[in-house]
Amino acid sequence: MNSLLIAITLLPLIGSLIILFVPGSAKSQIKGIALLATLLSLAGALALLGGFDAAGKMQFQVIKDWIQIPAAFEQNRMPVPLRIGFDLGIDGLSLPFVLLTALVSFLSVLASWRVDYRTKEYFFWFLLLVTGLFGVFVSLDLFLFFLFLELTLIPMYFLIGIWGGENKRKVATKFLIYRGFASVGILVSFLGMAYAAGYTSGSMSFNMLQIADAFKQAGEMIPGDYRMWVFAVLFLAILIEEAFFPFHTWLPDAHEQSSSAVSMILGGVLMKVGAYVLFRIGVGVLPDMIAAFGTAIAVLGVINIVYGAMVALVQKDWRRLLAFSTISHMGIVLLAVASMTSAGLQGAVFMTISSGLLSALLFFLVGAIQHRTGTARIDAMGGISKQLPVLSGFLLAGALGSLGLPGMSGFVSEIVSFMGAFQKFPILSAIGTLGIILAAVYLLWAMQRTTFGPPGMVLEGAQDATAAEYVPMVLLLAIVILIGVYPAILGDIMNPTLTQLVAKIGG
Amino acid sequence: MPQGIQRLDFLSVWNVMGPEIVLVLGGFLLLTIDLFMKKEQKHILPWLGILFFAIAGGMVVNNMVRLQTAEQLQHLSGYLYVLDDFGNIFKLIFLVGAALTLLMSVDYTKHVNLPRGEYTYILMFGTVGAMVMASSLDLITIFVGLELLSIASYVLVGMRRNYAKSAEGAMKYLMIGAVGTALTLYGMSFVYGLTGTTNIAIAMDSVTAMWEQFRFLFLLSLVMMLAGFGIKISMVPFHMWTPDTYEGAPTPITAFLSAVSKAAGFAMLFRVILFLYSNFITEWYMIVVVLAILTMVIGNVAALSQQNMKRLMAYSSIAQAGYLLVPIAVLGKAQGSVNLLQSMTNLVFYIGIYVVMTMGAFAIISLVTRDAGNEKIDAFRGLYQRSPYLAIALTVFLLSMAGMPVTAGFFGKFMIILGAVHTQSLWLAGIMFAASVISFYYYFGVIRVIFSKETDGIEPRLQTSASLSVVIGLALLVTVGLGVVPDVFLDVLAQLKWFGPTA
Repeated sequence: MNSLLIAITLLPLIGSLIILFVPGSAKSQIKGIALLATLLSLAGALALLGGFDAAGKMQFQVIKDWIQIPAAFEQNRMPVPLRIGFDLGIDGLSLPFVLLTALVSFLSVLASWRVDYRTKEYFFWFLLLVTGLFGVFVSLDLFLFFLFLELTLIPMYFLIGIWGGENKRKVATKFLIYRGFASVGILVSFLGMAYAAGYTSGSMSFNMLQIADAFKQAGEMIPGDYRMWVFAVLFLAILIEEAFFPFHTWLPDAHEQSSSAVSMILGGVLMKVGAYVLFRIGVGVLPDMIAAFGTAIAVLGVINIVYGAMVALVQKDWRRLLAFSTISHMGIVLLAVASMTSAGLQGAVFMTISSGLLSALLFFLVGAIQHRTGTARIDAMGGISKQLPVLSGFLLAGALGSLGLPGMSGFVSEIVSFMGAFQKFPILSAIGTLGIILAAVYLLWAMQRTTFGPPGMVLEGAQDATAAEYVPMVLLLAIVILIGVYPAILGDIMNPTLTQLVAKIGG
Repeated sequence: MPQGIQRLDFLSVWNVMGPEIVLVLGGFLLLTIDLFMKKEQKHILPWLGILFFAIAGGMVVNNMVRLQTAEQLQHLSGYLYVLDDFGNIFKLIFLVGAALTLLMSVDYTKHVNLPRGEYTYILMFGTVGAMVMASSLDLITIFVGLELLSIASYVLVGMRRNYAKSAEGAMKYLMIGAVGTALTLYGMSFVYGLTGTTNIAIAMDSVTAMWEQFRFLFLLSLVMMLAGFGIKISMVPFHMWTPDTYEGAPTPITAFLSAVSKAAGFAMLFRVILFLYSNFITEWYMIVVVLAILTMVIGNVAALSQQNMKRLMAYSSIAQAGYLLVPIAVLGKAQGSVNLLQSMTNLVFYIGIYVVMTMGAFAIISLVTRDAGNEKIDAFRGLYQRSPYLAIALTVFLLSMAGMPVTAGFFGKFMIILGAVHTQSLWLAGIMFAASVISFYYYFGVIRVIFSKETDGIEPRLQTSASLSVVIGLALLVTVGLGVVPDVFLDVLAQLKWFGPTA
């Protein structure tokens, strides 16, 4: 059972290696391998869920030594050893992300079924990306975490750069440079943390749990300004990674230029890595810093909520609109985390998962519609509900979920997040709720211009949703509704872990 | 410490300079038989050179194993020339680099008309120069080594006689090199003038005693030597020759300059600067910090707009020199001898990796550019379709240079940044990594070209000769191997007795 994490992570990698040995002309076999690999990972993730002990502990652990350096640096004339481990494990915080990755990656393969241009390479990179994503969420070692994070960078560069739209090269490079800078920040701060933990305990390790313990137990031995710098670097990296204002400009570009399957995995999973770092490392290791800078983070969160929503209002392209809507929604996460309350943290994780699911759903739908209409521009469409009633219906449902209709995951997330945020920042949160209203405005307005009204274009022989398309749509929407109606299904998994995190903070 | 005049006999010299002697004698042997050889027989000469490099390498390893106690630290004529592990490990790196260069040249000289004999033995003499630089503890001997390497390099760069760019590169290198020589010598003369000795070990004490009195003159000598050495390692602002010379030189020689010659520069820099002025490092380390930052940033930024692959690699190698200066720069805030050793370990680790990945990359560049008939980056278009093996290998080398995980290059940078974190120079580490992010732009640009599809249907597959395959294969093995299990090399470095067991 303990090797399950390795299996989930490596299955896509194995799939990608097999694909290398399949001739490029055997397109359906390649797609089959990709589907099988992600399906097996999904099955593995569900098995994890089945065997998960909801007590909040780290479980399914795999602890193996990897690199050991006898003397990484000197302290009090004694050499301090360094250990880098192949350490995997999940708790209530990582499991939802693993499940999200498994689900979205499987559905993205389905959404990639139309890829006929350089199919072999496409699925090779795609599966590599999926391995990186799984690895990020199951790593217990910061070094390993970073390694997997970088593994997501290279495939994504190619996925945007080769299979993207007109400006693909420029946007792919932009993506690479932005995420590259984020990686730099993450690595520097990780090293700073591991070093500080090693300095206080006499043995340097990249194991997250050990680092968190060292910071908790001997935190006062680490000078305040050192902690502050480490946090500042980490937080800056998270802002870039998660495309928060003012480092957000790469995200709308990337979404606009990506194919819909790539957008699904980008918006659904890859964009959630930054939030995961915020929860796991920011809150887990440096809670006092988040508390110390709480107001500033909350202000930044509110700026993101309002700014993202306002800019979304004037977008002419569905993909850009959704990208800005994500920025706005993730602003709620910042605000909620800044409150450092139990509810706030819970809401933030809910929001992240919900936003991941809804992004995947909406980008899939926009892609499907774009495939039929040839455009994602809002003003070019109009009245498509006559010809594409099913797709339009699902798009409406997704939009309603995104704007926080009760009974869907977005509603639970927003309510819990704001409950937490109001305890600490009543005024800021009140301004933040503006985002919910604006979301209703831009989403419904866009819906109205797209699906209703006079037809903007003639769609000859356009077929409504195909059987294969029903799978992602129904599955994603069903989970969105399931979480909305019965939030405990997610809450039960993560609450014990989050409670422990909050207990560390003492707030 | 030195006492009186020692009589030099062959045995005492042989004990200390064995590997160098083997190479020099080997060079002369080649020179002689080259005169009597028929043109079609000369293809054996590079192989003979590789043989001599292998013998010398074995002797260096033997020396390293033998050095266990302080009594076994061999030296020549009052610490004129020492056989410590600092020199030994650098010598090994030079020998590996030079052997790979020759291996690469076996293929290169088949297609480009070069005098194989001269080429081989001049390369051997140049390598001896590099080895002398790493081992001497005397300014004059160091200078001799430096000139031996430099003059050999000028000749090698200009060896393609009927290729205008080759002459241009050699001329530029010669001119700037001459200025560097003058500066180095001038700086050294200050040290001699003030301390009355050219021996670094003795001068070190005098410098300590006289620093207060002659601070300005010492700093002046330091800056001038730094400038002279800076030319060898392509440090900004002494980097101007690099792109032109790299472009003009025969590709294996470009690799040699970029790897071996640069490593020699660092060996010398570390030895001279740190030995002579280490007690006052807090007063001058900011110079190195500033130079390191300038070198990283300017190298990477200038590389962004390059269209020629060899020029791109030239700027990339300038940037790499900047990264390599960081372990020296952070010493300014470090305390304790263990930190010095740590910095040295980091430096040598990265240099070792750098030499190998550079060799691997240039082996492929040499093959592809020759096949295309030009050196444009565009020549690499669709390389993946023409030769997946070469494409993946080059991708790995470029990723390693960019510092992506699971490659040796990442771990080298990782160790350097760890050293920077330890001396609380987080910001310097940050700049270093930010600079490498800039480098993503051009490295990934090349990688993208490699994997982009050739437009005209039929692509002739590239044939890789056996010798090149060996170079690339070895480099690939090391680059990936040390990325996954870096402790292998780090353990070796940890067991070294850098400046002898007592130091």
